[in-house]
Amino acid sequence: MINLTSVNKSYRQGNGDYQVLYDINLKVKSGEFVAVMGPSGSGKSTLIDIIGFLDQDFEGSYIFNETVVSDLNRRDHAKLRNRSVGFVFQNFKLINNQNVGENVGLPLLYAGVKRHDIHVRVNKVLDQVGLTDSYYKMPKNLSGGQQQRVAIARAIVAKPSFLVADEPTGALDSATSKEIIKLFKDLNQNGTTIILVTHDEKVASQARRLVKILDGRIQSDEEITNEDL
Amino acid sequence: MRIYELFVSALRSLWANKRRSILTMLGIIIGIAAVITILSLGDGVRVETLKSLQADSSGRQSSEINFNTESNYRLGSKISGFNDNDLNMVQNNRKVVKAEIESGYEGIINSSGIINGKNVMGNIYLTKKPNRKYLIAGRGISKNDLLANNPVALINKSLAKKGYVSPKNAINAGIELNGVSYTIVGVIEDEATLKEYQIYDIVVSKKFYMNNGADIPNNSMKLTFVNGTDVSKETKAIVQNLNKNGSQHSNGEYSFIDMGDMLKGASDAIKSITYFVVAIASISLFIAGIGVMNMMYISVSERTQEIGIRMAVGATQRQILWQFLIEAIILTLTGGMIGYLSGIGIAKIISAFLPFKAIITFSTFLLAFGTSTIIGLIFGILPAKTASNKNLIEILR
Ligand SMILES: Nc1ncnc2c1ncn2[C@@H]1O[C@H](COP(=O)(O)OP(=O)(O)O)[C@@H](O)[C@H]1O
Ligand SMILES: [Mg+2]
Repeated sequence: MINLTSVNKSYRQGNGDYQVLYDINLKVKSGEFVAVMGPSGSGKSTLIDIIGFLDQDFEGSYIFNETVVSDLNRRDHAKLRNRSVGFVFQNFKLINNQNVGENVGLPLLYAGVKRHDIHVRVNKVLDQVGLTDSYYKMPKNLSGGQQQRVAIARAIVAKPSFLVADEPTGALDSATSKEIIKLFKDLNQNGTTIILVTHDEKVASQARRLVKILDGRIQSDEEITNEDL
Repeated sequence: MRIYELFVSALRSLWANKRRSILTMLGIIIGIAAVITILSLGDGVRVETLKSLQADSSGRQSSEINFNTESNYRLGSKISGFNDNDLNMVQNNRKVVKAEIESGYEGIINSSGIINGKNVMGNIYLTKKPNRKYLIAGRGISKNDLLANNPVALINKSLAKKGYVSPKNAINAGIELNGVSYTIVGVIEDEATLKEYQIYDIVVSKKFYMNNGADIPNNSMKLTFVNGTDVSKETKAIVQNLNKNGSQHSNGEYSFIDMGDMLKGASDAIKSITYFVVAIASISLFIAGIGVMNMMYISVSERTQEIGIRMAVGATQRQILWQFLIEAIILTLTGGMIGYLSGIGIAKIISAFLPFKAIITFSTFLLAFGTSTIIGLIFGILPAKTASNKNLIEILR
């Protein structure tokens, strides 16, 4: 499904270039649960932004299913992002003056789904993440864990091909983190492909494949054979 | 995304910043209100002018030429400014449908008379029709009197009292005007007026008065023209000709009051006031537009996170652009419509104190609608572009 070949990425800084990713080769198949680990500043977010169609400005080849992502124009790139990926951020990224339901329905709004159908689908997804009857609540009245559930609901509402999460538990306490990871695992067991960036060994150990990054290079890429499961 | 949704989210975010939205609209409201007020009043004046023009000429166009001697202005002048030669000359003009020589003075002349041996002065209304207006005693001048050339007169209460103590006594008594005796058949009120401003004291038959030695100089000529004639131009040419070749051109001056000129002057004045107000309103609208732009820039930078989130879930640049553009347009359009309604209200209130009505046309509505939409578009496009060109990665970092 996801196929990165010799991907390099550098930021322009002043008059020189500052390279962040070096020769990344990565394939992810449908249904996988991949954890990406590495020290801060190693380029995890940069990589996952490219995979999640947020960043198109890189060298090398990214083929998603049959689509050559690097060849898309900005509009088609945005459409692909709307249809094919769900993104979960560390700090939730909810629109604070809109209620939970409107936040969750946002991807469907941009996909042109009818208001009524959005409403039905949003309530269903809220049930799925354990936030039944929360449609009209405001994000600021929810706990961090609940807000992240809203963000996850938003990420899966349009039934994307895969889900990308950049340190989704980074702003949560360990008990809440556990619940969120449980949610990811459930989603994966129901067939959702997940790529998750984390600092946390415990979180990473819940995945089935671990990619380690150091200084912009893939250091290791292996199956997790975890006995504590 | 559906267009309807764009409107909903634009309205919601404007509502979330009510006070700022209203303050931003204020400039638009004032500008549009000023323009609509002045345009409605201007239209009112124009229509009123047209109406009064048509009422006078009953569809046909006419003008009046007067002759004035330098010495004697009114009575006593024995010179008639127009004779038959003059009349023929004017009638040779193809544009002239009808030319009539009149005494002028609109039927009222000032004269001295004798009543019961006492000398009196008074305004005489020379009537061509039966007249019994303002009658308080006796009878009016009848059709029969006019046909039979009866020497009859109506006099007012003061004259009656002066001559014969009471109105009753004056009936069937006599009054001498211009050396001719008239029988007083009726007494009228003291405040008798013609056309609401010309006071008269005595009424007699015009035909009889003129046939009996009274000298009313024929110093006025009434012209009626073919429809569509430039009346003031033609009349001016005729007046010039009369001043060169007219029968009395060496004894006085032929002239006319150019209504066209007067109306043109009035409408020019209104036009320049309109331009002036529109110019000031344009400045106000321009400043209001800058205000809208400023507010939209603030809004865009305050909502950078929101823009990033929308893009991250798949909003295209164009959708973000339209969201902010529609917000700006809703803002200016709402201001424009409030301004339009206020303008109508102000115009109506003002015209309550003026002799004409403000006129609200559909085109002023379109003007308010169009102008405010265009302001929203022009001053909203740059902030909206800024919003849609934001770099997603940098916002989300
Ligand atoms: N927009 C940017 N401009 C310049 N440098 C950047 C930008 N984004 C990230 N970087 C740099 O790229 C490197 C990798 O960043 P990032 O991918 O966020 O690392 P991680 O998520 O692993 O902590 C860091 O050194 C960071 O400073
Ligand atoms: Mg990071």
